[in-house]
Amino acid sequence: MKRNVIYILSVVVAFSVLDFSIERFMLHGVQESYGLRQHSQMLIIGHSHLMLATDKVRMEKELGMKISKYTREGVNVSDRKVMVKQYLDSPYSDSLKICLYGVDLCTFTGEGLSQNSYKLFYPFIDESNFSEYIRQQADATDYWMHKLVRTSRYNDDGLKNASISGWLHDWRNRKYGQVDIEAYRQRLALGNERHITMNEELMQEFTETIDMLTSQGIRVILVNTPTLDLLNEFEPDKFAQMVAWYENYAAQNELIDYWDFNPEYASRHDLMHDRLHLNVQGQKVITDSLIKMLKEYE
Amino acid sequence: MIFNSLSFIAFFVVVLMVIGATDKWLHNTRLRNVLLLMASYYLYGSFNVAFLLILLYVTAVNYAAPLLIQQNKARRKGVLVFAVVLSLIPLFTYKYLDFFLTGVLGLQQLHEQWGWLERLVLPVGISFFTLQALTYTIDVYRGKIERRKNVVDVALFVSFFPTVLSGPIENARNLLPLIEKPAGVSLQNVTEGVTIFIYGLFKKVVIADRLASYVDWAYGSYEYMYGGTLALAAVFYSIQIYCDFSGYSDMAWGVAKCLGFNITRNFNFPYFATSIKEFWHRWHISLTSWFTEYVYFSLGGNRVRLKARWVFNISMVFILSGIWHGAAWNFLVWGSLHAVYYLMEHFFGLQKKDFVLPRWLRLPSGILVFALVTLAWIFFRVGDMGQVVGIIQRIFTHRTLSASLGASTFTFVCNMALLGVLTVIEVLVYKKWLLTERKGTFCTWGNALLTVALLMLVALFGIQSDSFVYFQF
Repeated sequence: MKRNVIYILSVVVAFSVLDFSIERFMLHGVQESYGLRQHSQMLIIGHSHLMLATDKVRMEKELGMKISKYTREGVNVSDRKVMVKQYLDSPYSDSLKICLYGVDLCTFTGEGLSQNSYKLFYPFIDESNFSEYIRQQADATDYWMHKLVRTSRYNDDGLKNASISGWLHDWRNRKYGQVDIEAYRQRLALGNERHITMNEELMQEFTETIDMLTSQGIRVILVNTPTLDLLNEFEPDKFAQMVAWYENYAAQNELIDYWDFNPEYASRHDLMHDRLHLNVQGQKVITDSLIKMLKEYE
Repeated sequence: MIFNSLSFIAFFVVVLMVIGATDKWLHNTRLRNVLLLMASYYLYGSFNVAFLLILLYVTAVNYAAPLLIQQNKARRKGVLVFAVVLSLIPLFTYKYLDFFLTGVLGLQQLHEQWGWLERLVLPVGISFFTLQALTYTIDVYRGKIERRKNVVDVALFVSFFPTVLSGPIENARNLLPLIEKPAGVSLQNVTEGVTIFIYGLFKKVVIADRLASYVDWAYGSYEYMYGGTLALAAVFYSIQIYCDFSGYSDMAWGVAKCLGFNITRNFNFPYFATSIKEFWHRWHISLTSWFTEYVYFSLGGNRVRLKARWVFNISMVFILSGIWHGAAWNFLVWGSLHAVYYLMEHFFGLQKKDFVLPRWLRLPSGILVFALVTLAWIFFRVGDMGQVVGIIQRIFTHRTLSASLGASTFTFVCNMALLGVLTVIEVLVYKKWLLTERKGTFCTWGNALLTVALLMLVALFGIQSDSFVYFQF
């Protein structure tokens, strides 16, 4: 009996200590990775598309500025609004001058992006604004589970990856492969591709996010990094309509610009890991272009 | 309400406290069993209340049949056959009727005429509790156990909540005595049971469910995948199904242990087997034992004059075992393939009593057995036979040595690291260094460290899923 009690107590104590320690360790890594605790001049916001397209370390070195690269897999427009607000509300945003905001042909489609992306904000569940945001999205069991078992906040692999990157200061793109064009052609022939739509609710979220930035005098560059030409040509009219919308939107505000890398690079199949994401070579090419353009922009 | 859900854990904590209090203060086995029966019906009914009617029906048939068998000695065989047929009617209707009418008899038009045929939803656990209930009737018929008068005990035997959803298929002569004379809830049993449960949970939510994402992704669009990717998916599926099912079985074992029941261990490190025969002694042990005892022996086992008859008996066991999983050609092929493996092993003399596998051949043999089993799992996993052929063809002809790492390289690396952790733990458990008593106690530092490590891994890497592979059977 006594032995069992000691055994159970040992397990509970060891678990609690480890749970707390690992959570602290992971949180530090995540904050480092996204640059949430630094006075940055540039904020990069987007999902995996922009994440794989930009080399933060080179950009910081070449442009001579601090950059917070807050990009996460699967985040939709609403999540990005929360992400932008998180940085703007922090005491580190006073130095912010430019925001690179990732857009693509499916920004307002929503499909293909995570429907449960509030889970990506579990690491910040102890912060009051996130606590409320998560409480609204998650069911009560989920909410309390993550509140109490602290390591479970890092259950998502993207978060673990971000934390490790933060600790190692390593944001390298590791997509070495090249898109299999033949396989993708077969897929397209079957009509197996998502459609471009313009969801008004998502567009509203998007404009509110951009307004939030521009109202503080921060310049916003909508960056459309290349997607495979075959994908862009899947619904050419809708794609052109989408591009026109971005151009028109940017033209209405002098603090907003739209940079589209598709015309120049969408047909460079050697740069693509898959139809949406750039490989290592692709990242190098786009980062070079971005650095050049940003230097001229300044 | 499945084992890896928080609602089940909440349910189980309440049940454990109530049963523990009953054991400690009331010492009333009848009340204990009534409470456990209520809990079992509640859990089973949580999937679909209508399914409870089937459970009650099977219970009623198998409660009444032994009574009639003992009362009508002259017609006992007829009663047994009648009881078996009656017990199998729901299983046949829900699981095999559609396949039999449309797949075997080719009456596809029945789908239009009888719309309900396609809408039949297989009640969870029906294949398990039907076979479990039948062991009671058959064992009474064979004179191996006495008929029980207490309907609660029999009902609890059929519906016992740790086993009702996916086994292990308990034998009446093992479980009924435990129900009638329970060991009771004790801190020692709870400590051991919870640790075993956590290990099962780890296998399910950390290994099986993570690998499932890769397997689903690869098989979901196999026509675009490299051969190496499909081969890797096949290997991952072998591990996924083992961890899914053995994880479930461990959780069932742990839950039952907490309540004072020592139920059958359903798995005994099957992928450490160095022959197909050994594999089947280690994989889904309760089903293998059921088919061996109630089918193979009934057909005469190996005590037959003609070798061909023995071949038939063995083949029947494997084919029935395949069909037990589902009414589809792929399960039939899966069972047949294992029959072929088993018989080939026999005819090559590898199953002779005096045959000893040289030590240096153990590892290659183990790998060969794993490869053969993995090949068979492709049939099991991919229902459509055309797709199976496509996958196997692609594995050998389309860039066999190139494998994609899936949607995320990091996830793939995590999965490989977790497989390494699983391998180490499995070896340590196999060697009886962990998850077992040492020096007369389960409360060792090794087990405590394992528990903490497993909990951390579950919290960090576990995936929430709402089913187990074997729920569909």
